[in-house]
Amino acid sequence: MNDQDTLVETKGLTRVYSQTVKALNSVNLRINSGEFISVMGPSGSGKTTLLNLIGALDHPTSGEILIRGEPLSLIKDPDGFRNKRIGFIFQLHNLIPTLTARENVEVPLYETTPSRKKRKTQALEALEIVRLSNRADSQPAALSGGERQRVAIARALANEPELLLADEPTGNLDSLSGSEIMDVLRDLNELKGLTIIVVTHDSAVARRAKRIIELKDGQIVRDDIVQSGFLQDLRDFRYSELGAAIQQGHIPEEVSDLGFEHIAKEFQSILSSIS
Amino acid sequence: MFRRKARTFLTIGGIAIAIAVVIFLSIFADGLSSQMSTLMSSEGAKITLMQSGIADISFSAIDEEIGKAISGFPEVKQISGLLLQLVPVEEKPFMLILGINPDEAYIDHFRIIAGENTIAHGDLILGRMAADFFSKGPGDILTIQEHQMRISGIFETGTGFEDAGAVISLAIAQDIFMKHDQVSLYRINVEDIEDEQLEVLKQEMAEQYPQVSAYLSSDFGRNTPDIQTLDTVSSAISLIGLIAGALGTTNTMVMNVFERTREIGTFRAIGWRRRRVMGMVVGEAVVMSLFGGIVGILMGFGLALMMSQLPVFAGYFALKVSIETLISGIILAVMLGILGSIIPAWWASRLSPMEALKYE
Repeated sequence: MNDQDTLVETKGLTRVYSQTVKALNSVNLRINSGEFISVMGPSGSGKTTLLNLIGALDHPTSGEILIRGEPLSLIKDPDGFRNKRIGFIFQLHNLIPTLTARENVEVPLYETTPSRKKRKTQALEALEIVRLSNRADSQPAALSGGERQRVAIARALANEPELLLADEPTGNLDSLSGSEIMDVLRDLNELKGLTIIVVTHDSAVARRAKRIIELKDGQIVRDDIVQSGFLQDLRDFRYSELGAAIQQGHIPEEVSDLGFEHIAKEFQSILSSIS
Repeated sequence: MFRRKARTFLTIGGIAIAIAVVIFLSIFADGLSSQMSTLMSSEGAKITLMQSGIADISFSAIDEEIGKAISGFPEVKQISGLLLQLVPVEEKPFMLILGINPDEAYIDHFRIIAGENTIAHGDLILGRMAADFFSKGPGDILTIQEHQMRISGIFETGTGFEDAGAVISLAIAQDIFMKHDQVSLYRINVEDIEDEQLEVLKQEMAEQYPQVSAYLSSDFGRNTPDIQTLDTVSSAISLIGLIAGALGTTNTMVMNVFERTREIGTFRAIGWRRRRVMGMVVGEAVVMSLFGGIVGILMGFGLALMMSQLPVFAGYFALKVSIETLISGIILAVMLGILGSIIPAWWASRLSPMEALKYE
């Protein structure tokens, strides 16, 4: 990859809250066009802070973010940048309950597309991409959780952004709906070449991406290309809630009650030994 | 706006009441003003004299000597003294009594529809509306300030003030109201002269006789101290109503923004600029206040219509509807919406999208 393929680059990115809480600590990262990245890590590790900084929703305390080589801090119209170049997907769909699916998708287009007819067409096209054009006239209350999130994805796609930022997009969904959402994101990445960054704490969700970045205490502790296989499953298990507890020697009661305490102890040494 | 229907309707109701008060008072003042002008400009009267420096026509007292002197102006064709009092009569809480000289042609202005047109010897002629109110006709007795007077005829002029009142002889009126050799107003008919000359004549009269204020009869209603006082009081009441309406709108829009913090955070996050967020909040308030304005205008007219139908106000409440009143009602409603929402809109536009998205 050359520099022209670099979409996002962070240099010494640091964000400190209240002078003591260091949400991000000198993060250096390069994201190329067309990547599909999961950002993992426990609560408070700095995942959402990283997403907010890249999305121009927040300002770094120090360090720099470059978008296609241009410092984000020099972009004069951050609202316009977010509107045209970034697509946001939130954990809660944040759809307007009184608007239909199509009208919700039209919301970001108000800033770019004065023509009502054109807005409608673009919104329907975005809904078509997430395979929801048949529910265009439905209000959010009439849609399932997964459908609502797909409408939210369509809204994020309405202005044809070059970067999609998704903060726990499956966090409020059951596993089947969550998997459908990840299918949609994967399709967008593979078929349309859209660069996607997904923040998640769910290792199964994270593994649907092509690259996993793990944060801990505001620093990158892992930056891997996703591999399949037993070793990768073990790695993912290590980052799950149960895996993390076992690794730290805390055997949950449910495991002890089932008589699996000795297996858990063996797992502790296995998990410690894998890289 | 439509998510909290009860609150929206209550706010629209508040705005409607504020606008209704403004419209009602405006119609009331316009009606009074136009009736007063009609009263003084009937039969071709061009200039009206009133005592200067007083706050109410009822207190006006001009010595008849001044009337005689003014009749000497070469342009003056005719001058009629008028004693005017608003007093309770029998069961009517207020009634306009006009004292006029029975020998002057002005008496012919009162078109008799029953009985005869005479106000000599303690007789009076009664307006049609007043006759309906008292259920009296020619030959009956009406007691004014403990003076029993015979009704000689019933008249109708089409001017509410007159039709709801009674006309008696000037001499008797001066006696009853203890204004000997004085009148309240002079109605002056002049030779056929240009408007500029009329203006000069009016000024000459006022300059030569500083005890009186001279008005063009057609503008008299608008310029009388009574109407101007009424206008001031109306404006003050209207202002209080509008402030209450604006505060109601502000309260609703603050609650609205507060409840939609997350939604506004989403708009900002997906790239809505501050001015669009402001426009959205102000726009919603304007739509709401427009509804309130339309309802308020209808309520104001309805109230005025109702009042004009009440027997006690018959004749004193002219329902004068002007396009200006309608437009001012709508403009006031829109301004109320803008003023009431500007602070919540500004607040909404300043919300940090990151913080707003965390809002539960």
